[in-house]
Order: sequence, then structure tokens, then C-alpha cells
Amino acid sequence: MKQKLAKLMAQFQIEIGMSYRFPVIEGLAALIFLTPIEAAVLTWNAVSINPDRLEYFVFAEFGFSGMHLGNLMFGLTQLLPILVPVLVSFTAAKSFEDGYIQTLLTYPVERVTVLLVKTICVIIIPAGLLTFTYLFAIPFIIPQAPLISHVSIMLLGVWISVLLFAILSMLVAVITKKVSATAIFGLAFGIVTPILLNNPAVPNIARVVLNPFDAAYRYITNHSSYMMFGTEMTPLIDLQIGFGISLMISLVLLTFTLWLFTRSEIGG
Amino acid sequence: MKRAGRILIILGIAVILLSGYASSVYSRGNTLVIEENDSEVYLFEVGQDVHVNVTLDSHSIGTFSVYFMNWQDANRTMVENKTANPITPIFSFENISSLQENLHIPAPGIYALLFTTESTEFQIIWVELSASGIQSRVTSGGVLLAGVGAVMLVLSVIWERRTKSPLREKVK
Repeated sequence: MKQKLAKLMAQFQIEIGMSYRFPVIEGLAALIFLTPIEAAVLTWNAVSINPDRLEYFVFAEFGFSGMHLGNLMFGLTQLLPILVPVLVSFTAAKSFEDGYIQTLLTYPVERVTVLLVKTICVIIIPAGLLTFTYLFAIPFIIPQAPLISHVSIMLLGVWISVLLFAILSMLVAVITKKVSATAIFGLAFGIVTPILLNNPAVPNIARVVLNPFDAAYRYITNHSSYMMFGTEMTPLIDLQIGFGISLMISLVLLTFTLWLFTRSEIGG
Repeated sequence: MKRAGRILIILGIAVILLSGYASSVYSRGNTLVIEENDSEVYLFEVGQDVHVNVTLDSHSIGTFSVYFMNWQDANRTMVENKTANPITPIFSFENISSLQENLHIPAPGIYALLFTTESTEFQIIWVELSASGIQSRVTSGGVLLAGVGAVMLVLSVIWERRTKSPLREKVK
């Protein structure tokens, strides 16, 4: 057991050392951490007087807890479906294309472990950075204490979204074994998702399943930007069901991807 | 650990710079009308200490009172209790004809100025708020990040030296 754990840790070290060389993590940290922190700091730098808007938020049921937690991630909810597949393409798909995966497979580790380590890294790094951003922003940037329920919903949305996007793009990487194909999938997914989200014909649960992070953001900020397209607010029950379905889809796809990888031909 | 330390130092420095960048002077003003037995609430969001300048319109006479409170107390006063009597104000300035004061903000957030008057005639007042100074809470967050990063970096360097030293001795 101890030996297995040591092997797994060594695999993680190899993956971080080879696929996440400077400046991959540094660039991600700058994007995921500094962008929202900058936005939040600049929000609070001014005496901003807007009684109508503030009265709405102050006296609204949700208060400003959701507004500020949500605004911290404004923009990133739409960026994440592109960012994660691009990360997968530059880490996992690249190793297929340049043949590095063959070197990895010569080590005394199972095939499943190799892909699982790659998948875990691609999930933990962006989701961990987003979580770190929240944990830093709550005491230092966001004014007054936000509601625990809002924080939990946002963090759940972050992790389930990253899990879904990472596994979906990992599946594309395993099937195509091409950097470009995986990156194009990410871009297409990032473009198509908002179009589907804007469509009133798409049910609420499907909207949550497609982008749980965005749905969490819409829910805690107590508004729907898609209202102009005739879409409705997402109730909590739909959010919970959507999260559950998204998580299940991710796990099923992960199992399928691992199964496919163990049977696919590597190199040539 | 070395890499994480370096990243934390860079992020910490960036946060400190951001808090300085956000420290420019900002100023906003607005006109309010207050009447007897009625109160007017003026909400604002602010990240640092604020200078308040309230003056009566040249056509208005009499005095007014200003109460500075957080949004929760303003909410309790105006919405829940539906009263003109302020609940636990942070600062009170009663029966005044003008106000120039620096208000210390306990934490960044939404605050309210509650205006009341005992004059029988309505009064027109000009409220001007300006804020400047470094957002100290953000700066302290940046210092903490950079500090943790520096500790991690130092620890990793010590660890590296300890693990490498026997090899060096062997080489010698």
C-alpha cells in the first residue's frame, strides 16, 4: 500500500514537472486569482452612490452576499468552459501528440493510473486556484461575511464544472490524440454553451448541467441575465438536481475515458 | 513547495500593488430633500475611510441631524421598524446646519447616512462623499500571501540544502 502510494506520488511529481512547467501554473494563477481580485478591489475603491441599485440589494432577500460573491467570478463563469479544455489540450493531448505518453507508459505503473493522474491534475489545479481565490477574497476583499450557503453553492459549482469540462475534454483528447482537436472542442464548447443557455427552450436543469458554475453564479446573484431572452430564474431544487446529474455524467464519462484509454493504441 | 512559494510571493506583491492602485481619490455628490418627521436614507458603498461634506441649500433654514450606520441597522430602522429613530448609529451629528467630517469605516461595505430634521419646512441638502487612502485590509492580505510564500521558499531552500549536503561532502 505504502509502495503504491509512493508510486502514485512520483507519478504526480512527473506530471507536474513535465506537463505544468513554467509558466502554465503561474499563468493560470495570474488569470484565475488576479483577475477576480482586481475586479473586486476596484469595486470597493470608490464611494459609489447608486441608491436605487443598493436599496434593491440591501433590502432584497438575498442581500449583497450573493452579489459580491458572484461578481468576484463575473466573466470567469463563461471563460471556464474554454480554459479547462485548452489546459487539457496543452497537458494531456500534447503528451499524446509528441509521444511523451509512450515514455510514461514504460514506467511500472498501470495505464489507468497514468490517465487518472493527468485528469486529477487538470481538475485540481484550476478548481483549486478558484477555491483559493474565494478563500482569500472572503476575509480580505469581500465586505462583511457572505452567507455559507452562497459560498458552498459557488464552490460546488466550480468543482463540478471543472470536473465536467476536464473529463469531457480528456475524452476528446483520448479519442483524437490531437492538441488542435481538443482545443477546438474547448472553443466550440465555450461558444455553443452560452447560445444554448440563452435559449428559452432549454430547460433549467439542462442549463445547470451544461455549466454548473454559471448556474451557481446566476442563482446566488438572484438574477438571470438571460431574462431578456425569456429564460426563467433557476430554483434551488433544479440547481441541486442539475449538480447531481452533471456529477453523474462526469463520473460515467471518466469511467468510459479510462476504459477507452486502456484499450486504445498509443504511438505508431 | 519552492514553486508554490514563488507563486504566492508574486501574487502577494500583485495584491499589495492593487491595493495601492485602488487608493486614488474618488468623490461623488447628490441632493436630498428632507422633511419634518420623515427621514431620508443615503446609501453608499466604500472601501476606505470617507470624508463627508453636507451643506444646506441657500434657500433652506434650520438644522438637521445625520446618523452614520451600517446597512443592517439602516435596514432595521427604515424597513423593519419603519421608524425615523436611528438604531445604533456608528456616529451621530445632531441639530447641525452643516457637516465636514472624516468617518472611519470599520470594514469595506455598504453604509448609510440617515438624515432627519425637526424643522417644520422641508430642507434641501447637498451631500458630498469623497474617499482616499490605501485599502488596508487588502494590503494586509497581500502581505500575508507574500509572507507565507517567503516562508515556504525559505523552508524549501533549507530542505534542499539538508538533503543535498551529504552528496556534496561525498564529492569533496
